[in-house]
Amino acid sequence: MLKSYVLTLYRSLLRHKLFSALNILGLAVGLAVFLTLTIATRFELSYDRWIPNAERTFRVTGVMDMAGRPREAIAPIPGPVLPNLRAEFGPQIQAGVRLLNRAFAVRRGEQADYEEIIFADASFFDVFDLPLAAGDRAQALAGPGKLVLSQTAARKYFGEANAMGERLTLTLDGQPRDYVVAAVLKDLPENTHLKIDFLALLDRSVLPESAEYLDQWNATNYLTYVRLPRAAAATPIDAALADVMRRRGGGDVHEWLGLKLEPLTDLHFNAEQMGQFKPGVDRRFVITLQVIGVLTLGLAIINYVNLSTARAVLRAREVGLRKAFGATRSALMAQFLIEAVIVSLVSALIALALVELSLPLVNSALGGKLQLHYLGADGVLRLLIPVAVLVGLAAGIYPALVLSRYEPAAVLASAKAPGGGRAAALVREVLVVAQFSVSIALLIATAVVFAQAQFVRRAELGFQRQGLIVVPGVDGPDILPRRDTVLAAFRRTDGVTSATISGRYPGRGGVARSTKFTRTGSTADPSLSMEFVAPDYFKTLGMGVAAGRPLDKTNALDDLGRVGAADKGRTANGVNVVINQAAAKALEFSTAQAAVGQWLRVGDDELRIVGVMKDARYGSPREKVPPLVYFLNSAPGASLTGLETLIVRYDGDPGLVMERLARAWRQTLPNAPFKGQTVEAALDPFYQPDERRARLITLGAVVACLIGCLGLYGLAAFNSERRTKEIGIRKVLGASTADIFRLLAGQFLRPVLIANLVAWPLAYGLMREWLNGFDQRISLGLAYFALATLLALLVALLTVCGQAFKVARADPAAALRYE
Amino acid sequence: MITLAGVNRLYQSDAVETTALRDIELNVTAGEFVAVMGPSGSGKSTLLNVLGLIDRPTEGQHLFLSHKVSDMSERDRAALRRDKLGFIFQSFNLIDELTVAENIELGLTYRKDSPKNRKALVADAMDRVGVGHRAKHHPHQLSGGQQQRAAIARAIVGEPALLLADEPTGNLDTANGAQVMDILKSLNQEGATIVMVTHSASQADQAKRVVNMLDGRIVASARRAV
Repeated sequence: MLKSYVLTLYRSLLRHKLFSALNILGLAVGLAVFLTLTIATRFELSYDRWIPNAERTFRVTGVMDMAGRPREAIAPIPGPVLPNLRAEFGPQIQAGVRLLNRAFAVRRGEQADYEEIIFADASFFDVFDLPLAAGDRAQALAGPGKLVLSQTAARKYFGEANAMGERLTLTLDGQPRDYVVAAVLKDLPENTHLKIDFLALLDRSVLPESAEYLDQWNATNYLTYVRLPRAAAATPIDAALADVMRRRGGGDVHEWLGLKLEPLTDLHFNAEQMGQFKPGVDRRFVITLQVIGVLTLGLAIINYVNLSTARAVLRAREVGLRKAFGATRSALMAQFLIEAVIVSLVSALIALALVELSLPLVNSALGGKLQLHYLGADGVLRLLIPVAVLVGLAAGIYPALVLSRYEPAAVLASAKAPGGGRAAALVREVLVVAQFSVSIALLIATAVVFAQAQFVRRAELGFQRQGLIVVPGVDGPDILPRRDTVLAAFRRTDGVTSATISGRYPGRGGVARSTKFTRTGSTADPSLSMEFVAPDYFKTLGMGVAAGRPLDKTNALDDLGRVGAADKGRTANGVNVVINQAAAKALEFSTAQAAVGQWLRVGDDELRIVGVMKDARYGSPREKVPPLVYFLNSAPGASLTGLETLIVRYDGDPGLVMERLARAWRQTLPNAPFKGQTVEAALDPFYQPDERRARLITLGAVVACLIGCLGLYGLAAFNSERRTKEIGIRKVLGASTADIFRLLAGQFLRPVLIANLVAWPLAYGLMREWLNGFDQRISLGLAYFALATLLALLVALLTVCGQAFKVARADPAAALRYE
Repeated sequence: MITLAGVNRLYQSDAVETTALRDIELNVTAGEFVAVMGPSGSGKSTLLNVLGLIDRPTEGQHLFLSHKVSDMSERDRAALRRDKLGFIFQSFNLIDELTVAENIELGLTYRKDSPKNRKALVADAMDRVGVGHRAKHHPHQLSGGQQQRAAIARAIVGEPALLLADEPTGNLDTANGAQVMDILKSLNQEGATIVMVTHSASQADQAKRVVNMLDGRIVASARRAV
């Protein structure tokens, strides 16, 4: 019996090549998209799960709540938290570790580079049981002179030679120190939130400046992890944290910092948390990926159902004959279900090929490292085979019900094929509406996401981003004395039009800390960040003025260096400052102009606002620009914030200018690595993730449209065939080609039009939510919706056009001969 | 009204060439009732299709109401079908999705008559063939005889100059067949020109002229006194 089914299926597929191709390809594309997105989702969900005891390891993270600033989730917390948790909860904290992440110059002979060094408590390996390629984990962090390298870092500095026992010189807070490689860490896989290439002991003796924060409650520097006896132990600890902070926390820390335990396996989903090793991903994005995958598969199933029930009509005679020769309804249903499952399995095979072919493209488009494993626990076959069988059954059940219901006598007696009646026609139309609802919603999403990506790329940033180079790394005691020499050398460099120094720069938008300011004659007392800049800062950045004037080194009152406080982070009474628009707003000035000439108080100092600068966006378009107070300090060698960066405006070819700057740098600082980059390159990481997402949604929309059109095309082809007689009659009665074309095209455009009623509100809700994640965003105009609808209509029209036109032109005599 | 001169109709499919009509010479004048007889495959239906402007001669001249229809564009032929021709088929060819009244109205909608005018014409045609009480039913709810009478109503509702019937009683029992023939005869008496293909000699006898066909040729044409 099975042989007969398979044979019938094979012949039926061959006989109706178009339908078969549409059926199998549609399903294959749906399965391929589902598979790819499932692999992507699985990858995102696998982050950190492989780390031993991941389920009971937690990071203690903070939420900063300061007046005048939005609440901010931060990964690093004050140093005293961990010892106090140990004291409070005793054995409940099985192990704990603090990590401090700092960039320092690493040198081996002539080779030197800035590297991110992770300074960890000696208990690091108790919490993170990471595999070593060489060395002993008990000895790896046994003293302040020992260093653990990743395999990649070892290869970078020692090539293929054994790195164990070799020396590297780290320049920490200006002091060169020799380190001995005590262990080599196996390279971490991609799916972890950790990024560790250099690991050293967190020790007060080697980090005098940073170590002073180890005991301070008002600085947040340490990523803090704890391992608990069980996952459930986190709940009571979490609940007690606020109370612990109140009792044990120093100063007013409990007022502005809240703590919570975050499971290790959730850390990857902290998209907006500051101070992480790597940017996280929004969990909603991962869910969206999986939803798109399931939806696409759903569309493909709908397609199969639509085409099968439509084609069923053509097989009515076979059903009638089988019934006449004694087939029961259940036997027929079994036949059609088996057929659907076989078709689905064939599609799955093609889907695998499609995934293999497209994965490199998907990876390069999305910057991922997805791989296809066939066998094993996370093998794709374990997923695909059951899914394919389920899809086959799901797709086959409705056609099986419809087909097996045919009455043999009726089917055999008339040459006519039953059309499945009004109900079936309605079901088909509803399915096409569903397909196009998804397609149009995705098209709208594509339009909005692309427009937003374009917008943030081109939107005004408050400064001129073209023609700027930033050269970070002029902080630290060894470089600071020669900083002004480098700056002077840069200013003399061919192609450089101006140069300056500041702590924040495009590409590093974060602020060190904020301070309470009060506005004289008002109750406003927001927290604002202080920004100390060198002369020519506003000119070099090309920063726009909203009101008043920028600070000017020729005006003595504008210059901290001349008013009296050359020290870092200090203000002076009576000095002139400028603020940005965000600060003007936080200070409750009605307009920028209203702020000019007004006074601020910070500590004992009165400051006069002489201008309001436009908000300069140095980081992500998603984040708000922080409220800033700018101070000018022209004193030579003045340490401004401790994170100085040279900023250069140039004319001409950036490559050439960069080379000249590097040469000038090496002449002054032969031992420090030059790390210049254009501002466009520095800003890129803030725009890339959303552009990748845009590409992904586009991919989804294109595929959804493709599948929708496959379905529509199949349906149009089928319906045209089924309505051949009717069209013949209409033509005999005098209908012109145009009449018939309108009739057919109209019939297929109606579901597409109805689909808009579903797609518009859906897309509106989703896109408004998505855009709300951006501080800088487009408004959700009607144009995107209209555009998507027009595009869908156009595609649908093109899809059915050929069919409709062919049928409309057909000879009526030929049509009626079908009888 | 109709002149066919030297009409040939060839069908080509892959390698086989079939000649359905050979050297047809035929004149039909207004008010005639012509029965076309002949065995299966003799070309009767092809002749009717050519006369009904739903097939074109491969060679030869076809004049209809003084129009040289063999050279006309498809658009103009569609307009002629709409305004001047009525068809009755053996298998009725009613559209299942439309009601009886809608089926009858179909041809009028392509004429862009006013809806009010159309309704009146449809009601009148249904009364003439006696299916008025079935106006809102769908074809599959009707008996064969009723379906064919509805099809006749559809054919005559536009007051065509020429009525073409392809074995109109072929799918009907004797009683219903007789009823249909009575309708056709009375239509002819009221002035309609009719060309009817039939297998049945007794029905051919009720026409004014019988044309016999064999292998695509007209082999005999006899005018009868009725």
